[in-house]
Amino acid sequence: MHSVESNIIKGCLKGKREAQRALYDKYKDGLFALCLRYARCTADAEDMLQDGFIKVYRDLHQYKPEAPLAFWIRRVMINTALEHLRKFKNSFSEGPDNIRLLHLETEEKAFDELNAQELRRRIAELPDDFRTVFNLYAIEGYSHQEIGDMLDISVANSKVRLNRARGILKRSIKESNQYYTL
Amino acid sequence: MKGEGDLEAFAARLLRDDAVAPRDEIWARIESALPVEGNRFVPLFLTKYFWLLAAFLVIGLWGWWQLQRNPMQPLTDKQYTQRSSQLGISERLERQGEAHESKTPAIKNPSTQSNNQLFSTENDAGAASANNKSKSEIQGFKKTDDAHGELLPAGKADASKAVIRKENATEDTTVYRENILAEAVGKGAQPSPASVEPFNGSRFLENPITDLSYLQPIAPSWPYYSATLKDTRSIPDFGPKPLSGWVVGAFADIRSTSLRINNGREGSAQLVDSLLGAEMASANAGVGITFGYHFTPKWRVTSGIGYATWCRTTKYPVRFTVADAFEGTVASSDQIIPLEQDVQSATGIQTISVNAPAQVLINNTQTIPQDASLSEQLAIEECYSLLQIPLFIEYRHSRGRIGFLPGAGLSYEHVLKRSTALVGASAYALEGSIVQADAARKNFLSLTASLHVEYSITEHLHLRAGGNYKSWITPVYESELIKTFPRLISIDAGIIYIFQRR
Repeated sequence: MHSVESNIIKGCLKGKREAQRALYDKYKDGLFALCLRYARCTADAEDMLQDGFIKVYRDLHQYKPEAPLAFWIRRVMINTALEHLRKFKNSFSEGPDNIRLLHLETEEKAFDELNAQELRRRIAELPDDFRTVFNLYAIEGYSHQEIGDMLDISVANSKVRLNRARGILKRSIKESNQYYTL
Repeated sequence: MKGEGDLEAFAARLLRDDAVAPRDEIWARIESALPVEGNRFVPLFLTKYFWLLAAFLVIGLWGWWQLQRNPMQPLTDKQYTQRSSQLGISERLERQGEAHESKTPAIKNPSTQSNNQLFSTENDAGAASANNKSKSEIQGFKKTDDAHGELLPAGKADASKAVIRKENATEDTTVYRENILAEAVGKGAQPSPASVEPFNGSRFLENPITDLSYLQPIAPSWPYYSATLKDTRSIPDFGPKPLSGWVVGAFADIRSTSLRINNGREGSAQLVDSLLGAEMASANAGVGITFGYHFTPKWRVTSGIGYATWCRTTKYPVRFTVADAFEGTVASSDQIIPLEQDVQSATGIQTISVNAPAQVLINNTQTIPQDASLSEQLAIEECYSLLQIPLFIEYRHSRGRIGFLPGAGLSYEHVLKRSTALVGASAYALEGSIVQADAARKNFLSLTASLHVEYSITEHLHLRAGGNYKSWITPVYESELIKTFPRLISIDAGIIYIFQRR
């Protein structure tokens, strides 16, 4: 571990505000992008980021230096995001059963015309359940078994959600592609 | 399933190391939450209601100080004159002093007395027995005819026992003492020096000391005596008297509100709502009259009527993400506080619908740069004029003049007037207008817990101050999406008059 990072951790454990700020500055951009992928809106992402960092500072004593700090913080942030989504579950207006999926052929070249911001926006439009599974599987690299454990759903359900998320995204990207070519 | 080139791989490649800078305000939010989150020894309510707790502490310390004050204080000239004239003894004592001075020069000599003597009539029985009983009775005191010969207030012969302590012996106090003795044992009687027993602390333990205020010094130059009456019923003080009868009063209060929003957000998210986004509390004021009945010395039920103004400013963050199409007014669950609305157009006039607490129509009159992500704060100020009808039960714990009154009750409130206004300006010239929300309620119910301290000026008149915590049990605003339940802390002060039941 770098000595700088080690000093930051020690400072955070002592509750020093400068160290906490240094930790925040180091990881905030990547983690905010992560939160944006899970949140339905920017405000939710900001709430996730805030709660996540508070948990990081609070639980930092549980961190074991064997693993990279970035990995541990990222995991804390994902858990925070999932907690947020669970809390908002009651306000979801759309569920998997309400989604009518269209099976569209995806053209690979359409992907290339997307930038990160646009893709984030398309992912953000997914229903929460689909978006969460897509993020965990496609971007974070978790297996369906791990996702099932994290979300308390079956492996089959995780696969179904991923497929439906994929379908919606492909349709969205294709429509976007058509729009751009008009 | 996750092959190279498919959607998942593409997303992972594009987004895994993606970085987006959050707003600068986020750190300020984290920083403000850290002292609460990081220090479990300072519960949230201690920080949130610091001033209320500080007020309670000050009131409590003041009450404790009042209770600890030594009641045996020398009387002022005015107090002495009032009390002695009430009892009719000063003139007698003066006459007695003059007469006795001429008769008993030896006893006037302070050298025959020692300082710090317990001065009592208990051993005067021998001298007293030689005197006529009818002469032993004086106004305010009478000499008992038993062997102990104690000083007793008139009319309380069996209940009271008095012991006089001499704090500082001077010639004058000797005269005073002799006069008291003379009155006690009968006009003209002279106690022998032996009858004045030396100071003995155990006597005080045997005869508890309280204040016998009308045995206070009879001249300003005199040192004071303090004495005890066992039977406090004979003390002309209103403190220990049972309070009962009708109660009327008036009060004024200042208050601060916070808002509990039932939109599914809990825990830290709700904390964030209350601290940052949803509510800016402000102090407001109310006045009212109260009436009730003290149906026992300790319990009272009060009601009344009050008028209060109550304004709260709620700030809603409005963020604009400029996109390529404008879809018009959107009313969805996404607009639950804090408001998040995508305005999908770069120019022109758009309308944003805010679902709570009122609909806000925002006109964008300025071109917003493409790809801009803007953040605005819109503040909506709501003002209510309320008619309040409380129903309270209070328990009084009395310590002399001080009473501590924990209480609880229900309050019905009716909105007489409600107004809503947009506050603040926008950097992007967003002009707002408000459509009154239909979901604002007009009648509320709330529960209140309170703690008051009362100071009794007279047996009827009482000053009163304390704090209240009120939580609404019916929503102030209710729509399909949210319900708002304000919470309020207030401090109030007033005066009440209790008609004593005879």
